[in-house]
Amino acid sequence: MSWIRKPASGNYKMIMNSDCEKLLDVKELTVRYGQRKTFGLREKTVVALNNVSFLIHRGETLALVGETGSGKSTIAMSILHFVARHSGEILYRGKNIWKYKRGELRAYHRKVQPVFQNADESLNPRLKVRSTLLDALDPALSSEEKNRRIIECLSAVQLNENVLSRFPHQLSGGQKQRVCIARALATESEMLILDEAISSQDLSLQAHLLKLLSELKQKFSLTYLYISHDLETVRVIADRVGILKDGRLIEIGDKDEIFNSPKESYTQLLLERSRF
Amino acid sequence: MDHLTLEVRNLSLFIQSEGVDKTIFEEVSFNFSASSLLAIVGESGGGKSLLCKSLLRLTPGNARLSGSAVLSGLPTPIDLISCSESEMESIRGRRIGMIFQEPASSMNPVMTCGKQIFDALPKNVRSDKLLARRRIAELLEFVGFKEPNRIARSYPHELSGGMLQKVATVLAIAGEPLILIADEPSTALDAINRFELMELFQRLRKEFGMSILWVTHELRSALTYADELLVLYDGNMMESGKAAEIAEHPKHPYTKALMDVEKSFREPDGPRPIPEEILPAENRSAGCVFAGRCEFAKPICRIERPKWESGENRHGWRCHFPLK
Repeated sequence: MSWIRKPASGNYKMIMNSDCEKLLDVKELTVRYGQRKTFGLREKTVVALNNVSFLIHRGETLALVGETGSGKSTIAMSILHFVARHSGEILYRGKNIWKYKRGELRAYHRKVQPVFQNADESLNPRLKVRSTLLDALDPALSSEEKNRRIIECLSAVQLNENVLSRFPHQLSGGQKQRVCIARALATESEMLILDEAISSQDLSLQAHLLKLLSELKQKFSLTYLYISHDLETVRVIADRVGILKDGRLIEIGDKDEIFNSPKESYTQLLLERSRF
Repeated sequence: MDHLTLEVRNLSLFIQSEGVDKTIFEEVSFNFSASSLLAIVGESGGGKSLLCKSLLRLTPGNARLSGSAVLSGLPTPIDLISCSESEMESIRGRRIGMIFQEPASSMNPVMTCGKQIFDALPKNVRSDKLLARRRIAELLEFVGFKEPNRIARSYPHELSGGMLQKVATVLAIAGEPLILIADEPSTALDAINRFELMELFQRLRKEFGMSILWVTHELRSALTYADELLVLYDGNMMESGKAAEIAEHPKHPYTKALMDVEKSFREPDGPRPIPEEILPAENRSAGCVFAGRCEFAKPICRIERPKWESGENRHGWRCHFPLK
């Protein structure tokens, strides 16, 4: 495949020990939502993220774990430039994404791609898989090149060509999520934000997708921000783990450190309860 | 306290699509006794959710149900499949409560949680506003809210997923049903909220004698909490029996495969999925529905549908070559 980048390194430990390339640097990020006055309620402000800082190195998988409402998805939305921050910075390859010009932002969105939980809501029900993937490709490419890329993306996610003529409702849950991943790969992305991307699937499908994500990471030298409430899948995929609670990043460290000797009582409780 | 039992016999659901009856699930049978927790496990697309909805006759308009589901413990037993719609209305929410898969979409977004709970209370409680208000607070406290009045005044969008799940549970139990159907209530919850929900189920059983039908794809949790287990695959009952016995001696290769996938998540080589995804109905052979993915399948498995076999202690399975 011509557009596959050379892998940054074979494994995460090597990357960490050698020259760590910072890909994304989130610095003291605070996001507040103002809730409008509705149904007789008073206007109020919700602090979704409070002074959150973390780094993501190229080639690693950082998992963010926390309960619903802890701010996991707000982090994803902030990195994707979908919500405005109140304060703080997000640096991608050293440049603040909030200072991007329109063209730079478009290029950034091609490099940082999301895969969301509900594939049904992520795919346009009126578009066949071919059109969905075509939309993600660079319009400047020739039609031959586009077709070649589409086939490459599909084979990367282990789907065959006959899905191209199908609508989303004609696909199984696993196939739909694979199409979403293929679409994210079609833009030659560097980083995938997997926001509860496999959480609602059953265990066998989760196992399939986790295996696929690991293979893709190696093959395309990808970096993952893996957002989940499910510690079992985090244990499998993550290199480092961050624990979020009420909009604060309360603990972050290597996976083994977090799973074997958590420091915060909330993390300890989370791990204890996950054993049931 | 009265106790209800549910006896489901050969329940099948067909949905008509383009003039052809598509089988969603077939010949599902189980007994559901008082204060018990029955877990229905299986992969997505296996028919678990529609089985739950069928018991309350909440199936789509082009669906056809056959078989019986007899609710006993009432002055006269009622077959949920063939009873009149007015009888069914007196059962939904009053005799059988249900927690739907996505709590947010099962609530009214323009009504406070308190008002929605009020509407779900029995008529005699609703007629006394003060009693109703107290009951709403009691129920919210029962599921673990420390500020029940604040929650009652909140709209669904103001609550987190874990909180919504608790409110959905209150909505399901507000009508004082003796049977609770919970359709994947813990899938979207983190470990702490999931644990709290399961503890709540145990309290509902102990304190109110409630029987719970719990749909999940988390086999480990099902084996931990449930008394009985029913394994469903592609609309077919593969195995059923006491959870402890199935945990020790699974008979069906599919049950064993589910257990192995779960175990593999903690192995150094990473998770090992069950090979192949579920095939669409038109590509399936006439034999065992699991044959295409079964490591023990033999030629007969692809030709002949296995019969249901029964062992001791109501342990049953549908397999030509059950595991020893």
